[in-house]
Amino acid sequence: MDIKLKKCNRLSVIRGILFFLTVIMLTTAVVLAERAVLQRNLDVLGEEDYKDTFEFNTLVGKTITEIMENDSEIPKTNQNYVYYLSWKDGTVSANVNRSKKEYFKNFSKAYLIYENQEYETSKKEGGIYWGIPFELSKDIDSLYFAFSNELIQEQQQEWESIRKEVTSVLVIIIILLLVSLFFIFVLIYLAGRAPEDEELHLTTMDRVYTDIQILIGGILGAIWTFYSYLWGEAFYSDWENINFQRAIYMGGSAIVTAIVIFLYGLILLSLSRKIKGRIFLKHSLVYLFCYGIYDFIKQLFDGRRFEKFPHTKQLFYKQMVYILASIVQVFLTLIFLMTSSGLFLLPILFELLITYWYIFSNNQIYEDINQGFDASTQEQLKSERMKVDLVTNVSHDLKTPLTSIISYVDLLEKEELTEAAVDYVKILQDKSQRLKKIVEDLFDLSKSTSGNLVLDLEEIDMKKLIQQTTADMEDRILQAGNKLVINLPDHVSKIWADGDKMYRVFQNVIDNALKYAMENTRIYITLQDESNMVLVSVKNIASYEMNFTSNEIVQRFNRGDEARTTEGSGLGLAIAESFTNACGGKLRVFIEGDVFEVRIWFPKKVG
Amino acid sequence: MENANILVVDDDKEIASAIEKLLQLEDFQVKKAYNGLEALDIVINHDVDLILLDIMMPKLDGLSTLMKIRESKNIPIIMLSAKSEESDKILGLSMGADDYITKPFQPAELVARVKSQLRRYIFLGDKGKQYNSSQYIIGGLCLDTEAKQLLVDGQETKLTATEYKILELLMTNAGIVFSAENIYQKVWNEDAYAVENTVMVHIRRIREKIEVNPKQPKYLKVVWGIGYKIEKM
Repeated sequence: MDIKLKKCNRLSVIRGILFFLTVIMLTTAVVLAERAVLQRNLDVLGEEDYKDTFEFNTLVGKTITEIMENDSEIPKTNQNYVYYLSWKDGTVSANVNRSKKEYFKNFSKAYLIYENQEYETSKKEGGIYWGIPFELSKDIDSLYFAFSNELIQEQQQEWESIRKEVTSVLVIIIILLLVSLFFIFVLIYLAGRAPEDEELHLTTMDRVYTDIQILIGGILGAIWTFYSYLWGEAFYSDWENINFQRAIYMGGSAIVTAIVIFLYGLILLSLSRKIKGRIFLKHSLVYLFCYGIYDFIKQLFDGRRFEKFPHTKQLFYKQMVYILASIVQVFLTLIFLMTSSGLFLLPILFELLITYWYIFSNNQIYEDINQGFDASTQEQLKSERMKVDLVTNVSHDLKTPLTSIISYVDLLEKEELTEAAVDYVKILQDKSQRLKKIVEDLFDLSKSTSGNLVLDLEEIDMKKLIQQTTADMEDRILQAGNKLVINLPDHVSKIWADGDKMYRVFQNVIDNALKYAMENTRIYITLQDESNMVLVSVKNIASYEMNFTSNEIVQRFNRGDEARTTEGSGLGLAIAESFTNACGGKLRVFIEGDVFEVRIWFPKKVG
Repeated sequence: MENANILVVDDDKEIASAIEKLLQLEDFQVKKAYNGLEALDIVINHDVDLILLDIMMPKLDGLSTLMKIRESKNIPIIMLSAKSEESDKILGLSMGADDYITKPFQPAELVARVKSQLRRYIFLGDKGKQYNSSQYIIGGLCLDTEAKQLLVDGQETKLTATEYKILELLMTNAGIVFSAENIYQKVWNEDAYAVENTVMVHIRRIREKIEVNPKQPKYLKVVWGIGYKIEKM
């Protein structure tokens, strides 16, 4: 017991821990990934050279826009970039005293020359477009522009450090994913297992249909996506400013992600258990629906259950034919109608003919079935009557010669006899008495098991009944020598039964105990309540080895004493059981070692 | 009662003969009939003091014969039958029989019942209509509450004070069931507690005195699970 508990705990604990860790890891991975995606554009992983990045491109556009719009406000000593801009209207603005484009080209690795509506830039082939925002370029004649190398270097360094950071986050994410994946595999492998055996154990959650589970998964996914979108919106503009509201959003997102992953995990494990148990498909609504239809159609055409019943079989096949023929007629009618042919009347007429045929030919079959029913009912009644007559007649036929025997043996006893004859007569008397008892018992039993027992049901007190019976049997008890230990409750125990029959039952059971109890042992009789039943127990120690089962000993003619030498007809317990059942109670025998116990239950009479 | 004339009616010749012999050993005069018609014939033409009548017989069955005889005679009739259902017994008794014995029977019991019925008949016949209101008659029992006396089939039977009180209670309320507690309270005038055994012991003693066969009482019956009563007859 202890070992099992330990194993059970260990396995569940391991699985719980793995699951918990997986959820945490995946949630972290997702949150990190979201953060990274929103923080930077994805090309953060791709482009090494700052100048090839989208960010740089944005910077270019921004700077140029700035130049064009705020020319007057830009200090001439700006060290970040140099420019020379000539407008279409002839004005010129610059922050250096140079107007030759060669100067700008040689200035740095990041230059942009716009002249005659053509670009010449230092960006590499196929890189992202650097350029002047289109609407603004209309007013420009030419623009010579270059970022300072210091700026570029600065940005490059920053870029590289960011890249490093992001890459490391990426690595972390990948590690988390890999470990999670591994854990998931382990969990799937362990799904459905229990420490005590090799079998697949399904849980309550597995009772939900597969398609519903998948549907729930879909809904969860939608919810998560929606929420993530909301969260993304809140952050998109400015990652750097974590204020209270954003913190809430962040926390909320993490929680939502965790919950969704948790539920997904449960669903996943449930699905894997189902797959293992091969009920994945079968346990879905779709399958059930299709199977239902299939089964229904099969039933329509399956005449096997009518094998033994020729009449109903005929009815069934006729019905099938009728249904199919009718379907065909309907079909034809529709077709004819659709093609506007006058022929549509034909199938209708035909249908009427078939219906007529169907109804009339069935009538004969109905007649036959009714007759069959009648005949079978008659047969049953006859056989019932025969049974009752049998019991009465055989009763009479057995009792009559027995009466003669007993009477004449009695007369014989009154004659002058030799010593030997006296003994013989004694034996004859004993055996004929025994026979009488057996015959009487046999008829009681057969009457009660065939349901021909007349019961006089009334409210009786089980406690009184036991007291009366044991008092009535006092002689017999004294003779047997066993002491009766009787335990009765203080209150009455009312049941609804036939008093005479129950007296017989107890008489038989106690008699049985007295007959077979070991010398000098006690017989225990108890009466107690058991929820809404009344329970009587008669227990004794057997004087012999009981080589039979509880069921066997209650059977007719089964006697504990295999040599059948002691008194008794073998019917005592059988009659007790039969009478008990007839009165609505239950009798069972319990054998444990040398202890023989008869228990009788009766429903309590309430009110 | 000696030499009383008894008619034995049974279609089984051996049984009829056996009963004849049994009764002859008791000094009774016995006649036999093998069916209802023969029985009627004998009853009309001869003196009969008691009839032992089987039920299942050809030509005219026992119950019909019983009815026919009762039209003119009220001599004691004891039914004999293999049919042992309560309903059969009640039917026979309500049709006018005085007693009912089921086959196979104990010969000694048969003889005892015959004697009991004869005594009863003679006793009742003698007493004629001399009942007074203090006498309770049930079958062969006659309880005189004034004289505080019990007669069983005409013979005075000694009862202890307790036995008398119990019997008086039950006989003056024939047919009513009394629980052991009721009996104890009324007879001992004390509160009843665990009295079942005590009362049962007295009941058994009474039975020994009044019943032909105490093991199969006809008067003082146990209503199992409820109590005791004297059968109303």
